[in-house]
Amino acid sequence: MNSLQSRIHDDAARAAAQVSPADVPPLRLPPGRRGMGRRPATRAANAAARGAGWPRRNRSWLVPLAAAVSVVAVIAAVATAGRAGSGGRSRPAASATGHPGRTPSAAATGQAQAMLATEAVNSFFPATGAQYTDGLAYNWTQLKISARIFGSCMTRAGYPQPPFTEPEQSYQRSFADNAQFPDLAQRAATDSMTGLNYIRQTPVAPHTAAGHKAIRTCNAAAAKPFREISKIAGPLSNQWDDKFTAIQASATVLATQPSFAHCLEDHGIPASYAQHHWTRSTGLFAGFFAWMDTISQQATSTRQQAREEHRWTPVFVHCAGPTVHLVQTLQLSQRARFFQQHAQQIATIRTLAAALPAAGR
Amino acid sequence: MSILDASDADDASVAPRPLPIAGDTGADGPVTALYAEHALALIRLAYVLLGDKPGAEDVVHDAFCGLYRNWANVADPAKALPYLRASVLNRCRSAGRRRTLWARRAIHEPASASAETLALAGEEQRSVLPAIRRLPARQREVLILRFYLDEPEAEISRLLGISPSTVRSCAHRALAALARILGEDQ
Repeated sequence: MNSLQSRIHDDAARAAAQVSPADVPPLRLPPGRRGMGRRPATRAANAAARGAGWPRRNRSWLVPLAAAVSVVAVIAAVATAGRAGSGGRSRPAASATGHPGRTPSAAATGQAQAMLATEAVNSFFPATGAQYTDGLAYNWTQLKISARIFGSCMTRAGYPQPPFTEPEQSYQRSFADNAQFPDLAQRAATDSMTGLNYIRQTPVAPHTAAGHKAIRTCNAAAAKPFREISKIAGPLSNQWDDKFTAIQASATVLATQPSFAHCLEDHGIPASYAQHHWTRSTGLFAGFFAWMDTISQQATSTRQQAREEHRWTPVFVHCAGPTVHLVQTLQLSQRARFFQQHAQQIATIRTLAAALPAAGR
Repeated sequence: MSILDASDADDASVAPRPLPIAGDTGADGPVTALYAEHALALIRLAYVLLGDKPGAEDVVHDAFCGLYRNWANVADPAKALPYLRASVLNRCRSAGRRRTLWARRAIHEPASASAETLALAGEEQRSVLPAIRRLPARQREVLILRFYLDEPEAEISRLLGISPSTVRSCAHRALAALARILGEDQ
């Protein structure tokens, strides 16, 4: 668990502890038949349904939290957005800061930096599965640069860190997003729906005030090169999330769902799975994933699970194809408009990304 | 059981199977026992997600009422807890949407918070939870289930009705977005 993950755990546990057993209200089960009295829609009506005499407990959690402010408040330096599997693009050798043995040409360096700019844009604003996958390369680079800065800083503080060893392609294959940005080419190439397991390195430092301070300071140093780009791309990326989510929930796209379900049924997936209806949380291909989950749970070995994936992945690639094609066409068109509307910010993101050291690719 | 099943339990658009009268199912005892055992943990989960204690209590209470109404469909008591958790997550999502709409309407209202509330708000602001609550629902749920409840990917996958790799990518994106938000706020 890295520092941000620990912080989520600590903060959530601290918040949860504000609810004490005394805060649990008595259960008032509804009388009568289903449908004869729908549950109250509002909190006030709900309270009324529980009985007018039901006392609202003291809001004991409103008492200021006097104690237990966690020392561990370290933001992960290496903020990364998930992207899956490499498209197999070959990369030119780039400026290998910290690698004195390599002296790539200026042209190769320029090419690598331009590629990094494109990857950054794809990371923040993917419209297709391939772009989503491509964007992971930016995240990997970010991770690597951060790890190097963090490592140097910690070494200076007396806490040497293990080197960053995650290979780029393995990192890219760890974060497939089959629900929102299925990369059908990658699925077909790997014959697998699932990615690899990426295990994140955790900082090595003693649990002392000095150790925590070093982590905090070095995390801040490692995050610094990305602060500007995140400041611009973060809010814009949130806007883009709203755009593609709206497309994926549009009537035009949802109209492809029956065909997808029929295709799954034609390939032997039971209707009870294939007809799984769309929801905003499960995404467009819920029927297939429900089926795969069942198959995976029934598999008695990892080998059998791999065989099942090998068998069913081509079905997904085939059946999801028309929906994915439509979604990507709409999203590409939307992205072009989005980029026009935010041309200056996109250009700045490209410039900032291209100015990052290429971290010894 | 997927989360869909739990939301369907209270969705009038889903054709319901004929259900017996709730009182005839013998649900009172088991549901009450489940409530005694799990209500606290579920309210805590809802509170972490919503940041609103009365709202969290309502969500959990409604989830148990839903379970009670649908007890005949939850024949296996072992499935009752997953049903409840999925139901609580669904209801938190709906409550969050309603609150967002409300928050947009109320944005120009003058602040009238007490000193105590402000003190608590200050504490809350130092927490990552407000930032987590700005994330999309699924990302928020994955982060809380994964890092607060320490649920394995397979369980989250079952609970949310998404594939394990999507759980992983969702957590990855959520952590990245969270780091961005925290960076913006600093």
